[in-house]
Amino acid sequence: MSINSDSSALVVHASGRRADGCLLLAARGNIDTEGAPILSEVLDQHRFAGDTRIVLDLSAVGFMSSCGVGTLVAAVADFRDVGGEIYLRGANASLQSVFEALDLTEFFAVDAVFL
Amino acid sequence: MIVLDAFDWGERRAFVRELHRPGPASALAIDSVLAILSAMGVEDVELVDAEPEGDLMEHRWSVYNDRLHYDFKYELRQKSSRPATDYLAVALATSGIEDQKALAQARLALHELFSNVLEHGIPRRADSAVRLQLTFNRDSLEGTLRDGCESFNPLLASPLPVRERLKLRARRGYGTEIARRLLDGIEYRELEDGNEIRYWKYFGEWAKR
Repeated sequence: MSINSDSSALVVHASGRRADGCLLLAARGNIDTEGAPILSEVLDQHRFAGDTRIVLDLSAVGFMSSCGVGTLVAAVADFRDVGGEIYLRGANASLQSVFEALDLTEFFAVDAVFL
Repeated sequence: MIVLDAFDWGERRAFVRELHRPGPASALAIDSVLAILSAMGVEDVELVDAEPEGDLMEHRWSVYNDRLHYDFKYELRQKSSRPATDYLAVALATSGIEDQKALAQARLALHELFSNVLEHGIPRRADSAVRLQLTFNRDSLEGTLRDGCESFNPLLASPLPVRERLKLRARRGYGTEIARRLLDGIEYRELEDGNEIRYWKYFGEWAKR
């Protein structure tokens, strides 16, 4: 069996801003041990810059490990501390099952605009 | 392309080398080889990869008794868990199991167990390894994770409840809990030279949701 890697380094980029001021961030790749620090750094940069309301599009994230979950939990708490929020959008069935397994569906805010 | 690599008449076991990645074509080729070998009275067929790639130390897969087996051994000195993640992704994707949600759960749970060893295991020797075995039945997956580390039972670690972790903004420590919740069974056994975790997960109507 050959190993056909489906993993890729995480890339997070700003894809626009909604009319209500929320910054749109799109993530692509895996949020695992190697991707989680990248996500954390990008979110910190935006929070420090004053962008405290973020819509994080996860539709191109294929895999999220516990390390990614922990990073997201900490980031959400940091944003709430300053009156902000990270709204999640586009989590696939795999990511949803992680959130469900850890009873995190109520903890994370979901971007209702696209529900 | 599938070629017969070796054949053990005593054990009626064949070793077959696969020269390209699994897919519909190679599945057909495998079926053909299996049919021929079956006619010869061979019950066990093992497919051995020609050249392990990347950081993988050794990996192989085999088919016998209508079960699909994957066996993956990885040096503990490699600290990245990504090859394991990739291997799991390929193994699960080529398993023929249609329950995608349960497959995704299995992938994550096994990733967490494997990563746990890589990140926290204390190798007993410089060449100690971690070995992941997966066996797919029609409606279940079972296997073992063995490592050559100092004794450590991850199931005895008493993690804080998730709600407490959220209050503490914990970035780590969710892995074992994920494995517990997403697998249908998980057991620990201390070995003479390391640790073993046995796990199983059901698919389809028996799957944990």
